[in-house]
Amino acid sequence: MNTILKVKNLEQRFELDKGILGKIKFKNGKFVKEERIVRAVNDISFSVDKGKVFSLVGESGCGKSTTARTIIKLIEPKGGTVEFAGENITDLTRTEMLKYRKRMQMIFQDPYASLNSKQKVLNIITEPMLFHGVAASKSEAKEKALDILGKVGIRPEQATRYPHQFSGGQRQRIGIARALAVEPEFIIADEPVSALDVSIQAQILNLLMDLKKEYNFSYLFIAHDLSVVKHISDDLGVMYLGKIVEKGSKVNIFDNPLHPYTKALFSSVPKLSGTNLKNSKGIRGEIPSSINLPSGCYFHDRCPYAKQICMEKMPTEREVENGHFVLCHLY
Amino acid sequence: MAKKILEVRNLRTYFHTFKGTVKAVDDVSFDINEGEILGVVGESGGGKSVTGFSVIRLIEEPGKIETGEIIYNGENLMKKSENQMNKVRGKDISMIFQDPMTSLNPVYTIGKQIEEVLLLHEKDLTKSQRKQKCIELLKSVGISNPESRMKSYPHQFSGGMRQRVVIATALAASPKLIIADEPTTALDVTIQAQILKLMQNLVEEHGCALMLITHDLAVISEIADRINVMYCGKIIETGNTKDIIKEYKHPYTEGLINSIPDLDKDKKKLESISGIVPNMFDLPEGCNFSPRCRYCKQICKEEEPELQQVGQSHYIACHFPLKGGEK
Amino acid sequence: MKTEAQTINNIGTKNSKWKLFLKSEFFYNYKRSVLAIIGSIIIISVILIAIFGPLFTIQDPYNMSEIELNNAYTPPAWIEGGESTFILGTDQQGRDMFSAIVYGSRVSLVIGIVSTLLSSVLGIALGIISGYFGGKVDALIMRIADVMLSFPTMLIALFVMSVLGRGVVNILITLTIVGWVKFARTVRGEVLSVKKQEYIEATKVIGLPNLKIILKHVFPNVLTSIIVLVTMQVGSNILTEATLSFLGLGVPITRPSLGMLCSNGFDVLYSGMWWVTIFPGLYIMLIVFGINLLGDFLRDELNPKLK
Repeated sequence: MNTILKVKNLEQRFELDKGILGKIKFKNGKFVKEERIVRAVNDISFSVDKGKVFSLVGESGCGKSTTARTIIKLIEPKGGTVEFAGENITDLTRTEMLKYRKRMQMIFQDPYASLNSKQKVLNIITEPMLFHGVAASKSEAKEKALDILGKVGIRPEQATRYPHQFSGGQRQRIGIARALAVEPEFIIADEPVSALDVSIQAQILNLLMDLKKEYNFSYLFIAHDLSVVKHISDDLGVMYLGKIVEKGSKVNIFDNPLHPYTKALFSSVPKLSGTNLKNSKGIRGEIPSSINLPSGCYFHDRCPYAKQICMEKMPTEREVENGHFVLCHLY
Repeated sequence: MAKKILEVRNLRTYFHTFKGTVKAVDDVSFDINEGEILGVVGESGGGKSVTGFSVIRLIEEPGKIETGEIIYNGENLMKKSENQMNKVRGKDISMIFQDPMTSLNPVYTIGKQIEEVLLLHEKDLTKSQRKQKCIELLKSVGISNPESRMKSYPHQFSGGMRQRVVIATALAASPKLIIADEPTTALDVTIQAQILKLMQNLVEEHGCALMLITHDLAVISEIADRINVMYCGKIIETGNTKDIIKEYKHPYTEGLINSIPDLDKDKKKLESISGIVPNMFDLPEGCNFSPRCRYCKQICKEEEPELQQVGQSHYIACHFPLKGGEK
Repeated sequence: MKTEAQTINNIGTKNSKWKLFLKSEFFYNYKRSVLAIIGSIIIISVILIAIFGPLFTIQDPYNMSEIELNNAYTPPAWIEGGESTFILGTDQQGRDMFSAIVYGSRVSLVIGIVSTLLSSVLGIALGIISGYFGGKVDALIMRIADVMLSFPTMLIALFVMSVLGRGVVNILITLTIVGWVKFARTVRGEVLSVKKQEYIEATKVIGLPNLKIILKHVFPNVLTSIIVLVTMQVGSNILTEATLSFLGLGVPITRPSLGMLCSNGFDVLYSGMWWVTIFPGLYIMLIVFGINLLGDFLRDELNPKLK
């Protein structure tokens, strides 16, 4: 058993029009019943191996953060299953979920919004410890908290301060320490470095990798920055409009990108060598709204290779080479 | 030798806050030539945005431009009155901001907003000429069906489209210089690529200069001709793009470049710069970068380095310049 | 840029709450706001007068044995016919106006403060429940609030008072009934925005129970916006009480508040005995003015949307 997380046919959608009254619209002189539904995650499956980093990468609105929040049950899934360490956690109640909460934790994107500014740093770390019984007493919790803070690079004398006394990078370290507090096996990191300066971003990425080595975590890493993803992951899935359009190992995808969207993403990344954008075509258009999803393949209206079938039928996932899946009619 | 469109000399912009004075821009001098793209790069707190705002004198309390000359086309902007400055802003120098969601007024159609600029700065155009110009501008930034889109409101556009409209507005009065403050930071990578290409083409077509302020060195190296690297309110390295990226000589530039994970190379571990940007109220003695610099020697803690020439149009402020991109 | 610099600057400071406060931007701006300081001076003086004033008054205006009818309608001391004992003159029963105002301000202040506390506790509780849990509870509470808001406050207050009758407790109940709505709506709005913050998500990922999340994480973060509202509400409740008392529906005649004092002199206002109404009226104005000055400052400082 070396899979820690298995997601099967996961779906998530949000109703924009709540209640009966909200669904009634006035259109062309008539009242009509119309429901607008945001289809954020549409039937995605992937698994994260123990001790590995699986990344979900995509542009804003592709559903990668919603996927993360659905897996950790901040939002109840609308379809499909989530298996954690071999157990189906999809329909667990709040209390049943508690023992899994201890084993999976989350690191958030915004270092300014992810810490309660009214709580001292030490309490931010000890609160989950005491709640989950990781530490028996307050003094033991304090000792453990200082140890963890030390590991993420926060000195003991800084522990009694409030979050606003720290810089963005340091706050992100504290957020990481909070996730570590309950000694989890699996961490979901939702864009943990996208709000940070480059030099700080490198520090945090290094820290995440060092911690992984020390504790043997598995990560589900959510990011939009391909270079970061390439640096940190073992496997990845590329998301577009709530679908994983391509997934496989890092080597598979970076050396041999197949899906036209993946290719377009790669060619849009600015590079230090300064040659990428000039020579690439990029892609036209922007991501369509996830309220009115396009027919057929979601990418067809931006795809340079679109054929008739792409507008009519959603392609099925095909394994092109060992462990390298792609969702495209071309293959 | 290309003609200089903007010369900034010894610019100092300070913020007088209740905790003391922040030298957001401290003795900065640089030029921009006609038709050139100058990239200004640095981390938050480096003073790059304040430099941009200082050039068009949009510094609000508690900030103040203490000294310096901003010479645009031979005229010192510092000597102009607020009224005269309003004629320069938008007409000669225009600005593009980071957030396309907030830099357009939600209650006016985008046609109205572009026309407003024309009304202000191109007074001799007739109504139909203005409309024609609007359509041309929108077309030039890649908005299809400009006639009907002119009547749309900003919320009917997506983020990337809005940034195109913002660029069209900035181009409306055919400025000689555009200052773009993190214009693609809020955009997705595929859209960023579109916008960067668009800006590059527009600069070529209109022959105006662009000052591109961003934290992303990769973005700058894709489109800029020259780069200013800023740290703690000072320019610490300046030169042609190729010199900076390949032959960087300042340890901070080296740190920045090594911090970026590269798609083309596999790095085991990122070589990050240790520590954090120093407290702007209490800058270190000597070189501002000394506490984070791995080559730091005694003199770095005592004496502030001056900008020195290390190559043709390549200057750095460091006591111990690296030998051409060494690792 | 500025905030980043400030954040970093904070790193070196010692962590005593009081010292942090003295070094804070809030306190810095306070020291520079003339109006806020005037407001605070007024409020502090009013409170001190209410507490210690009775030590300096020449009589207890509630004690009928100390009052002599002979002294009725003595004008203020600086007007012809005035006596230096009665600085601000006397009313129709010969009661010293200065003493009456000092004692009356105690009643007004107590009603203003206690009613605000009661309505804020009720409003905050309902607002948090409404905002945090949402759904049907939210709909119910907010519809009740909408109904309350669709009637003029004074109309509801008059109605409730005429049902309950005069009395300090009844006026507290009335002010609570009409006052909670403002708190509930503001708090609900704040909770809705706090609820979306990542630190609340983090507590859910940890699995903390709702009560703990509300008390430790939601409530402290909506507190600042409540402080402003509480301050302003004290002023507005003093005014409402004064109006009710003026209309004869407020406090009992034996314990006159400032509003009731105004009302007492109203009959003789046009017969030249203006001081009986004007002085209590001016004092109400001063109190509410002070509270509003401070309240405005707090609103500007604590409202993150203005920053």
